[in-house]
Formats: sequence, structure tokens, C-alpha cells
Amino acid sequence: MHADMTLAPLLALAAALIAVPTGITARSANLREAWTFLAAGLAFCLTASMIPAVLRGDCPTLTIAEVLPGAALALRVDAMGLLFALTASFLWIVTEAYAIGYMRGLSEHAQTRFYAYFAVSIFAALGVAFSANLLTMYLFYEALSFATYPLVAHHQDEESRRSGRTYLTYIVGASIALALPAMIAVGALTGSLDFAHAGGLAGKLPDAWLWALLVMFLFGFAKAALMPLHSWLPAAMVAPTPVSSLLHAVAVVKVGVFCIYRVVTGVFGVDLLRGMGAGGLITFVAAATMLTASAIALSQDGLKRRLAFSTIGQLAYIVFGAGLLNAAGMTGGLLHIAAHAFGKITLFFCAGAIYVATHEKYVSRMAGIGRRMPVTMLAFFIASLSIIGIPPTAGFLSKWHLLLGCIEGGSWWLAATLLLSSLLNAAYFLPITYRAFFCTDEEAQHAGPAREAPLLCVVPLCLTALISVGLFFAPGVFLDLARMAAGH
Amino acid sequence: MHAALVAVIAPLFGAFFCVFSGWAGGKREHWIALTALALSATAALDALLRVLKGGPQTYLLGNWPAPFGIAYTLDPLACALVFLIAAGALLNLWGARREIAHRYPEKDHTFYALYLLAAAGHMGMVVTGDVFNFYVLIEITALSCYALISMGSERSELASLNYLLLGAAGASLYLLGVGFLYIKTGTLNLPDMAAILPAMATAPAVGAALALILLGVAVKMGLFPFHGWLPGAYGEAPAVAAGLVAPMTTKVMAYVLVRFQVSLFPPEFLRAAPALPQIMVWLSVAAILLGAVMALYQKNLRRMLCFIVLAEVGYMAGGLFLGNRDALTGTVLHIYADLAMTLCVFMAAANIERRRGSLAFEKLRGLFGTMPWTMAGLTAGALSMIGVPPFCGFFSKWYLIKGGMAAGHWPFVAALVLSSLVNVLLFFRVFEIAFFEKDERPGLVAGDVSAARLVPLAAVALSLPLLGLATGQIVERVVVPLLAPLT
Repeated sequence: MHADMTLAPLLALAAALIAVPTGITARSANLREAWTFLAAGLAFCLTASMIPAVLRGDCPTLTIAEVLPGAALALRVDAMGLLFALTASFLWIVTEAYAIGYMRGLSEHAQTRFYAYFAVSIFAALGVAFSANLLTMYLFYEALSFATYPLVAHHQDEESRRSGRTYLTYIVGASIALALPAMIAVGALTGSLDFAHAGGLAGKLPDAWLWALLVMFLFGFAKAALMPLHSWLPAAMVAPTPVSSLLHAVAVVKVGVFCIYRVVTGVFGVDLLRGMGAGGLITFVAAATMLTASAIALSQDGLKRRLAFSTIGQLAYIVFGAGLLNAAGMTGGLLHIAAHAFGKITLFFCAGAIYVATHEKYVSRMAGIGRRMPVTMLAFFIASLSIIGIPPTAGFLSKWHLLLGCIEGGSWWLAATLLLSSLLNAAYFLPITYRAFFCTDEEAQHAGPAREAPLLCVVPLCLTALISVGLFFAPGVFLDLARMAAGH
Repeated sequence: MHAALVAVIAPLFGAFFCVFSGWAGGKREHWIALTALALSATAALDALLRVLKGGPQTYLLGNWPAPFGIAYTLDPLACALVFLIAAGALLNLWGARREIAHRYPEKDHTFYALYLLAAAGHMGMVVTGDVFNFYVLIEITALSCYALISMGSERSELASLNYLLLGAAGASLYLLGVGFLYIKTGTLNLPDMAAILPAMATAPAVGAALALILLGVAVKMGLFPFHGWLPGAYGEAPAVAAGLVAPMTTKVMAYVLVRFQVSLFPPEFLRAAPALPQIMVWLSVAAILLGAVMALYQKNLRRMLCFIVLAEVGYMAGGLFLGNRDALTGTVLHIYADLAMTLCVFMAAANIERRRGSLAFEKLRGLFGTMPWTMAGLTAGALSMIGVPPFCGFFSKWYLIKGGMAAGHWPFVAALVLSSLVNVLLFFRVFEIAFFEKDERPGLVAGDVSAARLVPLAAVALSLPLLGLATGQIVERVVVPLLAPLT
């Protein structure tokens, strides 16, 4: 692997921030949103421009400042980071369009603040993706924690105040109490926090301490929402739906699992973890989270809450892939970052579109809604298939690789857990679509003719649903990057 | 190296000019004070650049040779701190003209004179290389601070008296220690003394002297259990004065301890009494915990900040007495970082107080809406105190925790982590009030404070991430040379 200096990752980060000063000073809402689109487009293009180099095996690198010995503030773009950054920056553009429809449709207050912090959040998420070492990653991780707080608390009422408090307590509490000391310990023991020097901990500590460090990292990055540190995610659903869809289905939560991948591959190293036999711990925590979250999702009536528990379960799939500690499993997990992103964002877009059009939040009151919003519910159906993992959708591919990983590891019961969890996914998603379309006129709470949400809400969700299908037939660059990152 | 002298002398003369100007009935004290401090900051910067280039130097006051005259020790550590003090005092005073004129219509020149005297005293303590001259400067600083503090709220006179009693005790203990040392060594010059002491390190009188000095500085620094004066003094002082003394005094005392630890206390002294550093670290742990718990009980922003300052004193003292390189590095970094971030939050608090009249929690409603820029400054300071990178508070805490781990002192590590968590709680409790609760009282002045107050705050807030990013440079160019003789 050869590293060369380039400004591209820094420019991509800076592009995301363009939206902040221009948005605050813009004289009209249209102008502000135009700037945001420009920022999102630029960030995506600059990210995409690094694909050829990374696929060639290069690692565009940039050191910003030597702040601590062995831990500079530095950016490096590799396959894993690029996969995540591409997903996040592309979906930002789509979400931007959706947010305009949603925020204007509901006449939300403080929209300028909303767009500004949204841009800062994406900046931080991309920063995590491009971090070259643990310190830089922690920096952007915390920046993301604090930048999303005003978004979660957007409504400025009693409920959002409580939720914001839960959000910070879990996320910042865990990162300071667990991840930070673990990171300092790793830095002190190995003298380097760089992800390129994995495995430095081998032989430095007794096994019990290594296990402790692993657990601290696993739960310290609470954005991954591993149980029992998951309660912040349902609480965060109080935010406006564009936040739930991009940040709490894609950027923020994927940052959490992404950090766990970095710790597994870049700090401990797969070989060390295999030697410790630590894969079992990670898969166990993930499997338990997966099943419990899916079971809880079954009983949730609030649509966004059900989606939130579904997200917790799906994040556990990704962590599960890391815990398998083999190439197929990791490919599946990393691919699921993208596959789940496109699927879940569609589902949230649908939930938001339903809310904008009908002010409905509860599943029990959505019988027959397919008659009123057929396009939205069709997209909802396709996206649920992707999350469940039924072909022809992207979710099938990632879950297929995860299954391969289980079988490669020879653990049939893990494979059985995955299948059981998928059944549960089906059980909490499919009835929604079924009741939306197939119910008698007496049961129906919504009637035709079709009246959809504003066009700016509907087009993005159709687009992401289509991409979920498209990725099944042409996973292309996402699969290549995932396989490369997993070490194929 | 007259620059170093100018840095200290300029505010000293400025103080006299302020008094004369007041007598003459002039209204130019504010500009005199700003000029003096600007001159001082420039001179300090010049001195800093010189020592960074040419290495540490000794400056003989009036050209008298060392054991007879007073010598200034100038190294990057001292010059950088003097620069921060001068610049901080300048920025803190910058936009306060109307506030001072309004609060002290008859005595504004006194306020300026005391402010400049206190600033000069702080800077003098940093550069002096003479243990008796240091005592004189302690008293100059302390006396002007007592007077400044007593010009605050109606309870400030009592707080000031309390400070005076404890402060005088601390200074006396220090003087007693210096007396013993003078008897034993026959010199007051720091390097001289450091050269003589190792030979008699185990003499009981020397041990007693060093212990007295340590105790005296600990009292002046407000280390638990000698912290009783601190919350009252900084909590009741006038806002502008609090912005000077709260960030500077405890940090200068911590600096003095670092200086003594590195160049005065012979290693045999600490080795002969291994319990002493242990006790000091445990006192620091207690200070951190007490500061955190007490801060939680406060219902006033400034008093809450005072208890955070108390906890930060624990950070610095703990790092100092853990006795390893990483922890000492952390203490030095934290002296700079804590000075900048305490200044930042106190300046932001002063702005709020100027608008709202009080810092009681119920007066903080709706601040994010009405004073966005001030709140941005407060947020930057808060994030630094919580320890979020790239703000400077993160990096000093990093070294302190690393040092605690290296020493195997887990309670200290746990206290630091806990204190960070409590800081999150403390600041976000304030932010919640300012963000979620609406203030609809009639007659409330809307809008942020004037640019003359916002620009200095912005400069201080911006310095926090810059100081953080410069950590590598500071360690390499300030801390490593300082600790080189210790190996």
C-alpha cells in the first residue's frame, strides 16, 4: 500500500462546511438551500474523486498538525473510510432535497440553525471516515456528538429537552468514560494510535486487560447502539425526520459501528483478536442486541420508534460482521453499512412523508394508507425487503456475505441467529405494508384518491428505494471497496 | 533582554499614571491601562521569541550580579506565561470601559490602578528568580487583589477579608520557609540555592523550610483543604476583576510549584519523605471531587465556575506530584490551557452579567437567542473544560491521565474522568436553561453586548483550539527543555 499526500480529503471536509457561513448570511431561504446543495454536491464529488486512487491501492494522506507524539491530526482515505464517506455524502444530497420539502411542508422554526448544524454533522461524519488514527477519529466523533445535539433538541420543548439529555448522557458519557481512557492507554502502551500499525498491543498487556480495553472501546463508541447502551437512539427520534433519516439511520450510528471496525482492524488487529478468541464476545453482544432489538421493535406502535429499534438491530449485524473476524463476514458487515443506509433512509423518508401529508405517527393508524400514498408505501415495501434481506435488494447481498462468514467460521448457530433475526425483521415490517394496501373499507383509516406528500419529499424516497434495488444488480464500487477493506 | 523588564514594569508605571490621571480629574485611565498592557504583551512576546530562539537567559536587574541583586529567570515556560497573562489582562479589560465608569463613577482610576498592579504582580512572580523578591510580589499581587475583590457585590468585602486572612497566613508560611532557607544557605537567588541545597538536603531545617514553602504556596493556590477563600473571593469580585484573578492567580501559583519542583527541591528531599507527594496527590483527588460536587450544588453561573476552578487546581497539583514526565507535562500544558479557558468562560460570564444584571440560573433563560455570540464563546470554553479535542483542555488532560496511568494512580485517573463527565453535566445544565427556556420578562435588553466586548472574547475563544493544535510545539519547545535536567 502506498501513501501519497493530497488535499482531497481536507477539501471534501471543507466543502461540507461551506454551507455554514453562507447559510447563516444568506438573504433568502432559497439562497441558503442553494448553498447547502452546492456544499453537499462538492463534498460528494470530491469524495468520489478519490475512488480510482483508492481502488488502485493508494491511500491519499494528509497530516494537519503533530499534536501528540505518535498521534498527529491526520487524514487518510482507505477503502473502508471511502465506502462510508461515499454513502454519507451521497445521501446528504438526497436528504437535503427531502429536508427542504419536509421543513417547508411543516413550516419548522429555526431552519437556518437546522441546516448549519446538519452541515457540521456531515463534516464530522466524513472526518471520522477519513481519520488516519484514533485521536483524529475521536476528535470528529465528539464533534459529531455535540453538533447533533441542537438537531435532536430542535423543537426546544420539554420532550426534546429530555431526549437531548438522554442523547448526550449516553453518547458523550460513554465516550469520555470508556473510549477516552482506553485510547490514552493504547497510546501510552504502543506509542502510536495510527490505524496502519495494528496489533501493537500484542504482548504488552495481560489478556484480562486486553479484554477490558476491547469492552471499553466496544461500548465507548455508544453511537453503535450496542445494548445496553442503545436507549439514546429511540429518544433521538424526537428530532425532525431528516435528522432521523440521515443522522440516526446513516451518519451518526454508522460512525459508531465504523469506529468499532477501526478498533478491530486498526487498533487490535484481526490476528490479535483471533488469538484472544475475542470474536466470540463481539458476536455474542451483537447477536443479543440483534434479537432483543428486533423483538422490541415488534411491539412499537410509533413508526419512527419501530424504525429506531430496527436500526439498533441492523447496526448489530454490522458489528456482528466485525466479530466474525474473517474476510467474508467483514465484507458483509461493511457492505451492510451502505445497504442498510439506503434502505433505512427510505423508510424514514416514508415515515416523514406520511407525517407531512397526514400528521400520523402511529402504525396502528396507518391501515389503508397505501390508498392515499401508493408511491410512498411502495417505496416503503421495497426498503423493508432490503432491510429484511430478500432479493432483489442490496440487503440480501450484505446478509449473504454475513452468512458466508458464519459458515466459513463453522458456527452454524450464528448463522441460525442471523436467519431468526431476519424473520423477526419481516415480522415487524411486512404487516405495515400489508395493512396499508390490503384491508377492508371498514378497517381503512385513510382513503383514496392518492394525495402524496410534496414532490421534494417523494422524489428522494423513490430514488433511494430504486438504488436499494439497483445495488443488488450492480453493487459495483461498494462491493469492491468492502472486499478491499476486508482484505480480500 | 530588557523586554522582560518592560513587560513587568509597564503595567506598574501604568498604575501610577492612572492614579495621577484620576487626581488630575482626567478620564483617560482606560486608555492608559490598555496601552500599558499592550506594551507589556508586546514586550513579553518579544522576550518569548528571543528565548525560543536563543535559549533560556538570566536577566540581572540593574546589572547587579546574582547573589546580591535580583535576577530574572527567563525561559520559554516563563515568557509564554507572562505573555498569556499580559494578553489575557488586556483582552479582559478591553471592552469594560463603560462598565467600570458606570459602577465606580468616583473611583474608576483606583480600579484601573489596582488592576494594573495585580497584573504586574502576577507577571513579576513568574519571571523573578529570587525567592524573597517573589514574596514581595506575592504581597503586591495579593494586596491589590484584596482591594479589587472588595469592590464587587455587597458580600464581596467579607469574601475579601476571608481571602486576606488565609492569604496572609499562606504568605507568612512561605516567608518563614524562605527565612529558614536563607539561614541554611545564605542566598536568596533560586539557582544559587538550588546548587547549594542538595548537599544539605536531609537537614531537618531544610526539610521543614521546603515543607513550609509548599504549604504556603498551596494555600495561595487554593488547593484542598486550603480552598475556603477561593469561591467567595472569585464569586463575589467585580466581573472584570474576576476575569483577571480567577484565570491568573491559581495558575501562577501552579507555575511556581512547577518551578520549585524542577529547580529547587532536590530529588533527595522528596525521596526522604515519600509520603509527601502521595499526600499531595490525594489532596488533589479530593480537590477535584469536592470541586465537582460543590459545583453541582450552585445556582449561579459564576459560583459554579469558581468550583470548577477549584477542581482544576487539583488537576495541576496532582500532575505535579505524581512525579513522572507525562504528568508534569500535563501540568505545564494545563497551566496554559486552564488560564485561557478560564479566561474565556469568565469573560463570557461577564458579558452575560452586563446584560442580565446577575448570573443566577433563572436569569440565563433564552440566552442562545438573545446573546448568540457570547454564548458561542461560553460554549468554546465549556468544550475545552470538558476536554473535547481540538480544544486545549483536551490535550493537557490527555497527558495528566497518561501520567496517572503511568504512575498507577487509578484514583487520580478516575477523578479526572469523573470531573470531565461532571463538567458536561454542569455546562449542559446551563445550556439547557439558555436554550429551552424562554425569557419573556418585560424591559429586558435584547441583543448581544457591544463589539468591544465580543471581539476580545472571540480572540480568547479562538485561542483555545489554536493552543490545542500547538500542543506538539509547546511540549517540544517548552516542556522538553524544562524537564531535560530531571533525567
